[in-house]
Amino acid sequence: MIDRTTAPRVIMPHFLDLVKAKLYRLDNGLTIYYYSGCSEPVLNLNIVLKAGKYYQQKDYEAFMTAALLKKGTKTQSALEIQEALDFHGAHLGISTNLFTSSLDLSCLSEKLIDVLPIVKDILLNASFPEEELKIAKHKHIQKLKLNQEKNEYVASIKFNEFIFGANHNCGKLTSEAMISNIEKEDLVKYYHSRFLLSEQSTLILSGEIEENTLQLINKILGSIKLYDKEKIEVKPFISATEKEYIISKPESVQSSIRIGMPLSLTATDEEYLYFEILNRIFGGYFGSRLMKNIREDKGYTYGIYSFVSSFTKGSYFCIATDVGKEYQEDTLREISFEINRLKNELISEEELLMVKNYHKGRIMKSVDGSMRMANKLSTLLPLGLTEDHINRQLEVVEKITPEKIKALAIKYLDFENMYKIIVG
Amino acid sequence: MIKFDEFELQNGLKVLVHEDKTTPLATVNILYNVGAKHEKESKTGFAHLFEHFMFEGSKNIKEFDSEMQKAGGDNNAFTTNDFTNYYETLPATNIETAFWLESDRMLELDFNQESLDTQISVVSEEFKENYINKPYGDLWHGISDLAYKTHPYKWPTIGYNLQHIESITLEETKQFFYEFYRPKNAILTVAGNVKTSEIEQLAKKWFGAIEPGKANTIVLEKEAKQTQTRRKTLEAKVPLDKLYLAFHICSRLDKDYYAVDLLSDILGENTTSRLYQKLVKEQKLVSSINCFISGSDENGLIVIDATLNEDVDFETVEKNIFDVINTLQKGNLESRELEKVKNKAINYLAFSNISNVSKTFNMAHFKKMNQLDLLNNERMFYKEVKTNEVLNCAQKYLNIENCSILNYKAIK
Repeated sequence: MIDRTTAPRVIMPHFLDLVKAKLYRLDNGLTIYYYSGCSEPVLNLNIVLKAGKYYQQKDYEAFMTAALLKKGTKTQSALEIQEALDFHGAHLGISTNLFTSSLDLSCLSEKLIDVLPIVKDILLNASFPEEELKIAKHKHIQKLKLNQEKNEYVASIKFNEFIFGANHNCGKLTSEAMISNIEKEDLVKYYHSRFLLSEQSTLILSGEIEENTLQLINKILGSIKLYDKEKIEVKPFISATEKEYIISKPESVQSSIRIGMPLSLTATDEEYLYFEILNRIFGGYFGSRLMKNIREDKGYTYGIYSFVSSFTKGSYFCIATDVGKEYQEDTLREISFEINRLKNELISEEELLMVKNYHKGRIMKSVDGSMRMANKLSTLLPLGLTEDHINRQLEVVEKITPEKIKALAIKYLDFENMYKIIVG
Repeated sequence: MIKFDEFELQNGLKVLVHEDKTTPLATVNILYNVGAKHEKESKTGFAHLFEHFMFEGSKNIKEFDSEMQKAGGDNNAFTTNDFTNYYETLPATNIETAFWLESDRMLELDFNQESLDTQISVVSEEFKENYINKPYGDLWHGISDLAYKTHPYKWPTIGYNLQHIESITLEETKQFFYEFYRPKNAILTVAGNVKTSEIEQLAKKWFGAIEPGKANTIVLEKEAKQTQTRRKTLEAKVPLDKLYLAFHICSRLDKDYYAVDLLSDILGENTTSRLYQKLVKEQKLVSSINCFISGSDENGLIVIDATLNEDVDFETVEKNIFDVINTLQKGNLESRELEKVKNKAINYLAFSNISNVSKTFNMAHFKKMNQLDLLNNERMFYKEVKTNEVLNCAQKYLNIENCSILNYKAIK
């Protein structure tokens, strides 16, 4: 008979033998970071531009510029562009965040030669047709209306507003008027000042990369003239002074809750890496204290999580959940209880070991395979970090102690002063 | 090309292994051949609630999740109408932990009322969060109930309502477990930095002594052919009207499947599709329109969903959708358009085959359907679809008599 009561021995690595990106320089000076190797004959090319919401002169222009990027160039209509991408089975996603926008091209390796010229055309000659802008405005307004019906959307954007401040580009709430006020000229201006390739653009390639893949990219993108992008110093944000936002909706059966605060840390600080582990323990995984208490013991919610988010010059901490409406107060009480427990009690060695191993396992998974590694790098580079960051994270896992966790909780987690947003 | 080894334990547990030396991780997947379609109509949502219950501790192990996390692993599960699937990814050095945990909960669960009560409460919140509180959350309830009259696809995996979930008893979970969660009704797949010989040894060690049980042999009666259009109107406080059209199609293994999938892409995969070009761009009747297939194992649905622009009525949109369908049915399909949707499907297939999580799932799913050759042949099947096959499917399935139409009306 086998012994089923004792767990098999667990072996965790202390560091990871990471594959580092190789570099390839295009004729125009742009650098491509690349990771080779994939079980399928596919490629992913990610172009990250410093063109986020932060750099807007007019509200909503970053988002709308990104949305219209593949909706027409000087020589091709939206339909022609999409037809060409579709015909070659390629996917080109365009997204905008607070500080960056990115173009994400996925295709079969053999199709790169056919689709990369389309990307080039978009990066050089986007034309923002009036007709497409009209459709997009309409669509975005409808989407906004739908979102405004969702408690979780309202709670999230309100939280964002509190963190960054109501007048900061990153914190402002989107209104219907902002969308309808966008004009073609705004988009053209934003495109020329932020979206053209410059020395600040980052290219990351992954998948099945052959020798001629890089040469092909050089042939197509290497001849683009780089623009001198204006270096804009990122200004600090001013968080809201009010602490609460509570909207009661009689027809809701659940309430969306967001609780949190800005942190005086950035991703480059070692202390931030320690805080990531504190967050794991508290609400950063399925077995976290919040989940155990509020979902598994009490059944108030389907899920409750906390997370830390970092960006150039700052970071914030947030707890997010949707709970049965009747459990609003109980949930707040339990969150406060769990924060106090972190401040007053030392974590047991057993729980800490579990979190450490889980944290390591997640880090391993996040860099497993060339595509995940590339994706990871695309989030690190804009923060001024490199792959070394991953082994620094693992080192911190080795070094952290129960005392350190308690000290961090005391230093950073002040429930009374956190923003509290309840919608529904 | 996914290579794999296959063997079966004496108790009937089927095992498949894909060796991949490029990763330090391993993924373990167990598929149980039981889904929402095997539930009683008075206890819908059972299979999904049971999936939650599987994480509440087993005969010798109090907490599944904690033990998995201690080994650096991450796990999850999902329930569909057709089956229930559990999977975890962990450092390959710790793969035995996954065998220990999965085998113990296949051996016997810790059936206790308190855990059941908590999970009933958690699932009730899940129901509220996704199906009541979200705008259009009950849409799929409406569609499946209209399209299916006898087949159990008529209820969604979450269940008809909260009352069904709340009424589930501990005794019923026991019966369910011993009926469906046995080695003979399960498929274990592994992918990652492992050796088949090592997996064979671990499988025998941990699963070998579990009572075989029996395979699920329930054969469900096919839904009778729909011969008349069905209509339903739902009203809710949502921002915009939505129109849903659902037509019955073939099963996952039918020879028509690939042609129907491509047909749905031609009609409404994205902005270059026929429906989008006509109704969004040209006629400006709707703000979005999509066409997709439900992808279920048994006879499924091809669904068109449209979000109406303000002041546009349901009848106009419906009529114009059928105009687009009729044009296609009359034989208007260029080879370039077909090649386009084929290339998209092949690209999608390639990307969805990259991770070991999807490899283990695909192996298990195709094994369940006794069609393991699909693991590497689907790309070819898409390539081989001919113009007339797509047209035949359009004529065969996209008829008004075969259609269930849901008008989801926004009220202020």
